Amino acid sequence: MLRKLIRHEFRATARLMPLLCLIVIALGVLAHFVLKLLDLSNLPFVVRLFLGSVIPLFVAALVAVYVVAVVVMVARFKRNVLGDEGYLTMTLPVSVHSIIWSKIIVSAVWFIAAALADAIAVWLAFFMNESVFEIIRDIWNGLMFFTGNNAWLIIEALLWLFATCFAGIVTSCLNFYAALSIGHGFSRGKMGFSVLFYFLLNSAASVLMTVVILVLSQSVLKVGVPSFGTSFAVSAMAEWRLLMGTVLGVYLVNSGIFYLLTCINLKKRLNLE
Amino acid sequence: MDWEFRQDAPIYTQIIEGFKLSIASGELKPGERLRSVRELAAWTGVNPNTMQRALTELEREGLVFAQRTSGRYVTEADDAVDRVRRELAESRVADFLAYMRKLGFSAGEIVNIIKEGDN
Amino acid sequence: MATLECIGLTKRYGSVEALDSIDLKVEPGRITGLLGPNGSGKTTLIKLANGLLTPTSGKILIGGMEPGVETKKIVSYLPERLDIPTWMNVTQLLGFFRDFYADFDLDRARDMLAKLSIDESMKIKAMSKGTREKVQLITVMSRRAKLYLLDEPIGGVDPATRDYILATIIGNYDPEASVVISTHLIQDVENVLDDVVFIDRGRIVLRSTVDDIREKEGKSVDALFREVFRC
Repeated sequence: MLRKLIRHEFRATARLMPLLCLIVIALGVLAHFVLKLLDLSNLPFVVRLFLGSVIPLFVAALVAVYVVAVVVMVARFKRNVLGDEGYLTMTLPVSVHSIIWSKIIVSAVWFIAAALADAIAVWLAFFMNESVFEIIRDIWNGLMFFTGNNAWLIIEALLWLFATCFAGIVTSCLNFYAALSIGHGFSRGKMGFSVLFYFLLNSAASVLMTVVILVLSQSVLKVGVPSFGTSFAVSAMAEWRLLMGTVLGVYLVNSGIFYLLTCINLKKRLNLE
Repeated sequence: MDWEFRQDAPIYTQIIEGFKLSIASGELKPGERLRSVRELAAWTGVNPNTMQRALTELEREGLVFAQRTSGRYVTEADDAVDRVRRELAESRVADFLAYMRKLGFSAGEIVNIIKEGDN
Repeated sequence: MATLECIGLTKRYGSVEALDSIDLKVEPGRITGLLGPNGSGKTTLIKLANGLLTPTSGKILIGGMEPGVETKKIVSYLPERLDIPTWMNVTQLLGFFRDFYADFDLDRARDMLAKLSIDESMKIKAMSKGTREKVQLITVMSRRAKLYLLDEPIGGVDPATRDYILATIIGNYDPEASVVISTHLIQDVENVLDDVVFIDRGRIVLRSTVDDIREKEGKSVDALFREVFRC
């Protein structure tokens, strides 16, 4: 049943996102050519200004893809679970858990798609752009130097980062779901309560994260003098793992709480129409 | 059948009357096959249980019989049609006479009115 | 076994008591009218049967089971609101129902749609309100469910559509299933009902059959309703 829900969820949300991803990639290509043109220094100022405006537009598009993904996810939940469609969704012979999970999974996929589209667009924009290449090469060389030429460590560090970002996205997803579910249970001022609870939950989650990290940094993490080479890499990596792991852990705890809140409210306080 | 059901009597009795009228007037021929309970119910806009009850009663009175696999049929007994014609007529006449007596007409006056009315 | 059974069923919203200790049994093969004025608790009862609400106290059983995934498999629900996703076309909607409900009779649905000349490639949002309502009704009645819950199915529709809806309900009759129709428009629906339940301010005030009421009271259910609920 979960697979069917997921399939259906994709069909329902695939109106906007693929198009946006393509648009942002196309803008990446456009930005590429604009940058190439700007490199030629014999263009009149007005033309350079005009061309240059593509860049902020491109950056805006990169951000917009994420924003739209969030909006689509929130709107979908609100409409399909708490709106009139809720009469259909919540009487399907499936568990509440399946319903919530199908939405989380599909939202997560769209977020990853947005991230990939952005990455591809950026890469296309800076493809074979010498100045940018040099910057990247310098960063890479620096990292290799710090880690004692161990590329795997860099990759592992990046993986931790991506996993934690992903957990962060799922947590904010559930933050919205929980707030909407709680707000919906009130007979009046549903939207108002939803917004209120969004900020309450968000704040609580942030406070928890801050406290945990503070405790961690005071007790465990040591900011030592960097001694370059293999031993630094190992200890830095250990600290990175600990930091990322802890953040990941807090995200999981927050997600769990938001998930429970969503579940309970949909089961006990569903207030359609 | 475009029936208007009265509000004050059970529907199944009204359905029975309606069928009796159709049989008596020849609208439903002897031996004619009736449609299924569900079709009849949908056609007249009534609950199938109600239609079933009416048909069962008609069976009991011998106006309709059921063949196990092929459905219900109007009886082919000729005395049955005559019987129901008489029955319906007598019921109407009784009502008519009661009404006329209430208006104060005598038997003779009633006969004259009938003769005039049938011109 | 009763299709639907309520035992001391109570539902409270804060201080408001929507249902007060309801005892009810709906048997298979019967079409029951749940009749009462607006706000009497009809919709609350139906939502409890659907699992959209949970009881404050007491029990509600569908086919002997408490509301959950298993009961949702055998209950077909027509809400007052339009709940079908408007972005879909009819084919996709039928596919949706077939995906989630094992008892969905696709041929039956297509047959009913064809009789109304509804093009399956048409999007729901492109249809008129009346057509959408008919499509929703068709999806609900094409399920071979054990309990059909129809919440105000004929409110706000034109007479021809009303006749169509009632004819569909009759035509769909299954001696092993129960139909519960909740409405405050009794006159139009009376001929279709077997049993009636009058509900007022969360309490059952009368339980009878249409035939009994007409025979014993000598008046229609509608007339009796107006008497019982006279303001």
